[in-house]
Amino acid sequence: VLQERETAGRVWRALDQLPFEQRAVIVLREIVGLSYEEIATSLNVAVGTVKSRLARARETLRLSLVHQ
Amino acid sequence: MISADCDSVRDDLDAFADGELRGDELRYVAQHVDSCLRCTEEVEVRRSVGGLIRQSASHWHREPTHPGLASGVVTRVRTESSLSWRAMLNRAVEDWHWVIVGGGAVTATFVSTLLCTSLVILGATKPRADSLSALGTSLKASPGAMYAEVSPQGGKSDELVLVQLETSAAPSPVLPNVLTREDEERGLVDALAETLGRGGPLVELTSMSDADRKKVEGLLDSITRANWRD
Repeated sequence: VLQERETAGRVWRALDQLPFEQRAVIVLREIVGLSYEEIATSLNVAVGTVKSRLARARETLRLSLVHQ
Repeated sequence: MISADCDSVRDDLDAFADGELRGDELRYVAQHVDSCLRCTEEVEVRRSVGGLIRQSASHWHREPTHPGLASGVVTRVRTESSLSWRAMLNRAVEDWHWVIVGGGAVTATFVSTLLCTSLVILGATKPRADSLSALGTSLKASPGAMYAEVSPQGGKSDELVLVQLETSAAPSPVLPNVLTREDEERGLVDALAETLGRGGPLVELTSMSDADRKKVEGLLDSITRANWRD
């Protein structure tokens, strides 16, 4: 449980460091479970923008989690 | 080593990992990923990052150390969306859409009316010289006594010959007219024939009774009006 809590804390901190645009798409995708189309509609952006923000967010999160 | 194929699918790996690709794109990326160890690992990394977030999120729900992260993001997204100029424009259009629809309908009605009026005023064609309108006008305009014979011709039962036998004015160029009528004008012509014919060849308008003359004049007016509408 402690390890789980620690991992959750690391992920939260990594998410917290993301720019809001990237944090929004990753949360809407992974936690809320929206499709790309629904995210694009929610944020008033193109689906391509959702794809690129999601890719940047995951890459940043990956690097951030590796270095924590 | 990163091949050219890897570069071509790199931007689609997230969508592939999320199951958001369709059709040819999906086939192309899937084929490449199946044959490329590096890209398979990239896809796995993306899925594991997503899995880690979901796993952590379930932990936050159980132990709300970071309560409201998702709802906070959603709320902020909604707030920012509601403040964006596009959203404001959408709302403005939504609020005013009945006014816009109403205005459009009024404008369309106005334009249609204008068009119809223009067509009526500008599109009126010169009546044919041998039309009933011209005939009626000619008969009505002839000064003095008017004589007319209206009789059915042999042959086709729906043919009538209107002949101006005598008038104090110059003979009308539109007479005689052979008229084949199946429409309401036929009714008027028949009524005229019935009133004027009386079984005899000639009827002098001035010798008619007042009632008959008025009836004939009325019929001529009807013919004139009916043909002005044509």
